[in-house]
Amino acid sequence: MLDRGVFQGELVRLAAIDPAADAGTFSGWYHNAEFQKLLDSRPARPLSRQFFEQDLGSSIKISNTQYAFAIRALTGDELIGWVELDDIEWPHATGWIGIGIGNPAYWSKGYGTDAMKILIRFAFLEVGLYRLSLNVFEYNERALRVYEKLGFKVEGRVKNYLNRDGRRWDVIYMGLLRPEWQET
Amino acid sequence: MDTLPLFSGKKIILTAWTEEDAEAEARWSEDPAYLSLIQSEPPRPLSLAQARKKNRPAEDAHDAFVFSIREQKSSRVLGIVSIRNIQWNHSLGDLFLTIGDAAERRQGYGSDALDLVLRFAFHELNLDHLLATVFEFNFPARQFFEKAGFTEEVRMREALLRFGRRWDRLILGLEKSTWESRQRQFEGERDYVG
Repeated sequence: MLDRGVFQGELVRLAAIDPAADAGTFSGWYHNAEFQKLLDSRPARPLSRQFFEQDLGSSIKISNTQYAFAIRALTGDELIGWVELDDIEWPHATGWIGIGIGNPAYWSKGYGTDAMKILIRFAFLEVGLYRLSLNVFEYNERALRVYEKLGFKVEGRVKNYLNRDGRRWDVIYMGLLRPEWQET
Repeated sequence: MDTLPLFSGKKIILTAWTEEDAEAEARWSEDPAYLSLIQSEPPRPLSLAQARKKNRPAEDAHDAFVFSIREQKSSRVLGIVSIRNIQWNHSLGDLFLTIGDAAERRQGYGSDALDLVLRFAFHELNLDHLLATVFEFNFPARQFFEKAGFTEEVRMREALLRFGRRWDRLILGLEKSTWESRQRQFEGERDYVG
C-alpha cells in the first residue's frame, strides 16, 4: 500500500476545481495564444473569467464519464494547470486524457509529467480503466516526449490535420494499455 | 461548364433527413449487428423518439450535414450518410455512412452514395480531409472505404471490447488531393474507353 495520498505526487497534487476562485487564473492562461495552440484545435481566442466560471462549473458536476482536476504545485500551492480524464466508455473500459500547464514558468520542469503520473494511476487503479488515449499536435514536441516517457505508444497520425501558422501539421494519436503500464 | 449532379447518383439519391428515416433507423436497430458495427456504445433497439434524436441534424448546424440515402426508383430509405464535426479552420470533417438493412448491402448503393458525398465534401464544402472510423472486426467497411482511396491513419489498439475479445479501432482518412487525382485518373480511363 502506498503511504501517500492518491492525489499527491512529487511536485504537484491534484485538487478540486473551484470555479469561482479559479476562473480568473484560467482566463489569464487563455490570454496566451501559445498555450492555447498547444492543446486546442479551435482557433485561439482570449477567454473571459465569466466564460470559465460557467465552463468550470459544468466540469465539476459529478459524472461517471469525466473527471477534471486542478493541478497545484506542492510548494506554495499555486494553481498551475488542469488535467482531465473524459469520454470514458465503460463497456470498453477506455478513456481520454487531456492536460494543460497554464503557467509557462512551470513548463519543462517535470510538473506536467508528475500530474500525468497521478492521473494515470487514478485512471487504472481507482477508476479501473484498461486503455487511455490522447492526441498531441506535431509541433508540441515537449508533450510528445513526456507521453513517450510515461509509456504511451504512438498509434498513428492524421497527416496534415491542422492548419496553423501558414502550414499543415499532423495530429499524433497515442495509447497506453493497463498491461503495458509500469508505475515509475 | 456542366455542373455535376450533387444529390443524384446511378442508383440512389441523397435527400433531406425526414421523420420516415427515424422509423427506418428504429427498425434497423432491432438487428443487433447493425449498431454494433457502427457505434462503440452498446447496441440496443431504439424507440422512435431515440431514433429521431440520434440522427436529426440541428437545423441551424454549420458543422454537420446529414442525408438519407434513397433508392432512385422507389424512394425507399436505404441508409444514412453524414459529414459531422466539421472543423472549418482545418478544413476537416468526419464521415459516417450506413446501409441499414443487411440484405441491401453489397449492391452498390453505398459506393454510389459515397461518390456523391465525397464530391459534396471536397468540391462543395471545400474540405481538405475526411476521416472515417472503422472497427477492426468490420472488414467490409474497411474494404468499402479503401476502394474509394481511404487509407489507415490511426490504429487505436484494443480500444473495443466486443464479442468476448478486444479489437482495434481504426481511423481511415482521405485527403482532397488524393481524391482529385483519382477522379482525374478515372476521367482519363473513361476518355480512353470512349
